[in-house]
Amino acid sequence: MSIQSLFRKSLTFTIAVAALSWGCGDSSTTNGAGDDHSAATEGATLAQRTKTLKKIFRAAPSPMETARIIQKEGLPFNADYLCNLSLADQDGMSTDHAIHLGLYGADVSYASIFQKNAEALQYLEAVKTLSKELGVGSILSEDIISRAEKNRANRDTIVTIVSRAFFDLNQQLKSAGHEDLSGLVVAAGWVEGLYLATRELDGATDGLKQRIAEQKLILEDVLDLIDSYSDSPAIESMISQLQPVLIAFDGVDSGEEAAPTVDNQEGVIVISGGNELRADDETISAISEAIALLRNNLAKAS
Amino acid sequence: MKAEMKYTILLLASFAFFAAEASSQCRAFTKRNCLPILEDYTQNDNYNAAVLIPGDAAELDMAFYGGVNYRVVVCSHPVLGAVEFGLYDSQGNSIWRNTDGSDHVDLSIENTQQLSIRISVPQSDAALIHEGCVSIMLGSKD
Repeated sequence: MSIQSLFRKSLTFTIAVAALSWGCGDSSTTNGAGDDHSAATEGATLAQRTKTLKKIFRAAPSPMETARIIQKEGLPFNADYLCNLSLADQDGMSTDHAIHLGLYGADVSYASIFQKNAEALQYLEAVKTLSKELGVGSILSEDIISRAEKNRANRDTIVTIVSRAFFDLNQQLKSAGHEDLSGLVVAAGWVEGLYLATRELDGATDGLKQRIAEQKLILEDVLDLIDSYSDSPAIESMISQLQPVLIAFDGVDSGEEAAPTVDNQEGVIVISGGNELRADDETISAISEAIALLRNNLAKAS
Repeated sequence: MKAEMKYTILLLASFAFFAAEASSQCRAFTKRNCLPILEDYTQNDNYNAAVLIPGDAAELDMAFYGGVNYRVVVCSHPVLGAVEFGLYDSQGNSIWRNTDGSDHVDLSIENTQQLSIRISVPQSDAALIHEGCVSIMLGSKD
């Protein structure tokens, strides 16, 4: 069989499978009577491969989760610690915009959780500006911004809008093949979240110190996540810039090895025990300094 | 040679089209079928979805904060059958499995710790093998 013939057969097969798959394709724009059909078929096609694989996903807690636990430890809100809004209007490469988007993502989460909704809306506008620069402006349409403004007194609505926008951002960047940019958003968001958590350490409770120490685990998640996109120079730079922070976390004590215990309480799986991470004041101070240095570098004009 | 190049380009374009189409379907599937399962839990930012086939496995490791309530959703296209998933601690010990076929589990965690979500798509003996979308969604609340 000639190579040309082999190509022809492969192409014919591919087109045939495409035609079959098209019939089972996404019908997300259909509505009404068509919905049942759409719901039953979207997300499934004839397989393009026969060899099985193991897919490894990488994820990290979102800035919204971090802001929520920090607030519960009694940390006060201070708008002076948020990034300058002018970052949104700066020219730069897509990697710069992604980093600034991550910083703003943590800022808007922080403001939302603390019910500082005027600030949250300002940062949401800045997120919209930057997302347009990255070609994913649809994550925050005029309708969504308008809904946020109408519900500015409702924390839960603002939190839901912000969380949905950043999920859509992550989804669209990954789907467009810009995993490196999605990784930069996650990394910068984590940096800003920890920066905000470590600004007022005088009189910090043991609970807040423990939450800061626990960020060692989150940093490991963030590094695992962005390391999977390490062929990007911007990601390599971010990994390199995170190294002093990683070193600062060396002083965190992982405590005694304690296996978690599991109990099913009315359908909720309660996981008790496990290691308690702790850090002394010197370590907390080292983490605070290292993260401030990195954050201020990321937030400066490009 | 020119003809071979033409066919190669067409073949690659077909595969690129397929990949984009599968990705788009997975996004729509996640939004329509998986997101509602989170109910009043605030969704995590990370989009974790892939097109899998029978026999595939998937895993997601992430730190979960102590003092927070979580819902973990593993949402899969019905064409893949009864997808199994379970939770494991950082030592690899099994914590919970969806033996009842549930598509989600609610968690309450005392101390911040790393957990692993492991998924396996059952084998199929069907003549035509289908692929389908599998999404892992994480939600949290106070």
